[in-house]
Amino acid sequence: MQVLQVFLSILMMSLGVHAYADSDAIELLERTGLAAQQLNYDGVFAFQKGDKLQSIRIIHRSDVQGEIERLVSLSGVEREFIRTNDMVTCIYPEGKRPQANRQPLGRGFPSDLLTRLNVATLYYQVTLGEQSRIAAHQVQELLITPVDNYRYGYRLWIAKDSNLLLQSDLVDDTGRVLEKFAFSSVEIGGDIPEQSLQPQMSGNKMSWSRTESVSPSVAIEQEDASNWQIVWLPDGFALVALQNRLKARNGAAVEQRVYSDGLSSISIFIEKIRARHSHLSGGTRMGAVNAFGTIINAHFVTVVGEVPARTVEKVGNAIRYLDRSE
Amino acid sequence: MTINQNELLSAFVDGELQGDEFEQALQIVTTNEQARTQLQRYQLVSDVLQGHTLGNQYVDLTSQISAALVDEPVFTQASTTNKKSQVIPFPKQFWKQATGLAVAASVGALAVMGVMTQPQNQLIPVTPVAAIDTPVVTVAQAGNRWTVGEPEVEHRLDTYLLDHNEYAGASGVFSYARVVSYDAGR
Amino acid sequence: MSVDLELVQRVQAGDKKAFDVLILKYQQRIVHVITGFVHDPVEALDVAQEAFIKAYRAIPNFRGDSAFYTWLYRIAINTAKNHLTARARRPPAMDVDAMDATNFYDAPELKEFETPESSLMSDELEQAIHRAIQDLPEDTATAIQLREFDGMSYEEIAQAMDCPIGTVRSRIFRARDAIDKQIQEIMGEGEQQ
Repeated sequence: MQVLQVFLSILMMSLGVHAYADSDAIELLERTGLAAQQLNYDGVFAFQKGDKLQSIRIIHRSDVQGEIERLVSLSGVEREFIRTNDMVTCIYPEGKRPQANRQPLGRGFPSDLLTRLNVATLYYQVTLGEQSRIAAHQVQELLITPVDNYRYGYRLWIAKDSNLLLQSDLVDDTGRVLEKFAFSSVEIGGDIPEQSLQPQMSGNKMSWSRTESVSPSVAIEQEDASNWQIVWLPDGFALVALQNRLKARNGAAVEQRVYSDGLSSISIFIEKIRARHSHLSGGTRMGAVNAFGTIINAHFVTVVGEVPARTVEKVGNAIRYLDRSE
Repeated sequence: MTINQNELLSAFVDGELQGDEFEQALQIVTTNEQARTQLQRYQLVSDVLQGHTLGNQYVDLTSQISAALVDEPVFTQASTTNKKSQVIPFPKQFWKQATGLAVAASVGALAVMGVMTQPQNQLIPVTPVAAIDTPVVTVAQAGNRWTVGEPEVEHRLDTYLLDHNEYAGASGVFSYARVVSYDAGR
Repeated sequence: MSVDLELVQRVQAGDKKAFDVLILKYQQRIVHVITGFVHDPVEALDVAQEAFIKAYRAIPNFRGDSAFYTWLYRIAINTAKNHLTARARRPPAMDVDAMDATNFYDAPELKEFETPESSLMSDELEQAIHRAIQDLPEDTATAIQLREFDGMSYEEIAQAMDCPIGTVRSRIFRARDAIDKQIQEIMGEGEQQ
């Protein structure tokens, strides 16, 4: 499961030289990363956000050809994803356009970014937690705690026998669970027949490849050339991507910058106002994602990230427009 | 030009025609210059509203392209049928090429390619591996919608969230699930 | 069957005029897409024309496996890419920009759209459209907004607004009709050509 693998490898990178990390915890994290990549497994996990529960079946196979996985939504909107090494295909019922029209997550950050993450270190504490039982497996808990209140923490539960990640909670500074990902059942290590990896849904199909964003060095050059300046970010947040998109809906150019400490990330969107539209003023949230909107120099400026409300607000208030013509 | 004709043209722009209306609409558009101009204006307004125009430049290439096509062959059903067995190759590298371009041109939203209709196989239901237990730990009731209450603003935020998730690689598991469950929350 | 597919089948059966309708329908979008690659607007128009001609030639092979626009879009970006490759090979001595600039005002299809006056007109046009929508009765405005901004089908709008599909259709038409009246003045002579 490459998503997981990336998640964990980034965790490892970012935490590799962590001052607070205990070595057992780090070692477990490394084993977990490999397990997600190398094991065969077939299970159902639930993703919980607010009062909504989405069930997803995942079938993952790893062999000489690499990894392949199939994800099927079992509740809510019918949808299947097939991911192979470099291609993602989403299958959805005839006549229903998926709202999510892009890859939710690439193979992850460009490889050079991983190197950059070595410097993003001291912002989370990694420790071993308690042992318990999830989906009929003995698990070891791993706690990832931020050192300040500008980011969220994680609690991970890892199967003791296979090292597969079985549950992951995103938690705020009061310990509240904001989002939860958990296997309700899973078979690990069995044979995965070819048939299980074939799409079963008929309908429309949409494919896209895993793309890499503009390299950070290019992004930084673009950032320097931009009229927009961010005068405050939480410690450890660095620019990882910058791009100008054309919004499909109205053709407006939108500058998107992504800043990350390696684990949490924030996007800043700057969109020129083209017509009389209303815009978010102040903060709002959806699940673990907070957003803060404001209008600066005839632009809609929006900060979005899976970080606390105080973080997006503080970043939003730290955006400046520089008039270079003067 | 009757009101009904214009309503037909409006529905034509939206691809929302019933029964033999397509025939009617095409007949009107290809024989009546005024109707064609009308359709073109409706289409332009739709393009403007949907943001398909760039830098406020509107083009009309129809006449020049038609002129350029004068010497092109007129196809016949036979030539079409013969060639039907011939599949346009989807170059294997296409995805990469096109995506590379899309990135190079910074048109991220256009990186989606290839919408294919699957064979009409009967839908085979997927059997869940096991019944799903409701997780014991309660997740904070943070809501599945933006707490804005203004559709236009929420729509923009939705778009931003998708764009953000594309990069929010660090918390990959969450990003993926957020998007998979996205419509369910609507 | 979709309108696009019906039009394609007409072209495949020998009706060139049906292809005109496809051009009419997709030209703004294709030019928009191509401009993302080929930044010069004049070049972009040439590339768009080339893309449509390629599409015409390839249309006997179009089997309806994908949406027509997706297929056309692919041709357009490939054409744009080839154009960029070809341009990169041109000897640097050739001042392409200057040449294009010279031809710029001679090209009849461009004059109308690219002169500063027309650009002003276009801004006015966009504003007029938005003004017209603001002046619409609420039901009508909602219907056109759901259609154009949210991309909803008539059926979805009917559900959202709790009314019959026929009502949606006539509301959308009334909205377009009202917008049309507003913009006709602005479009004025330019559109008569």
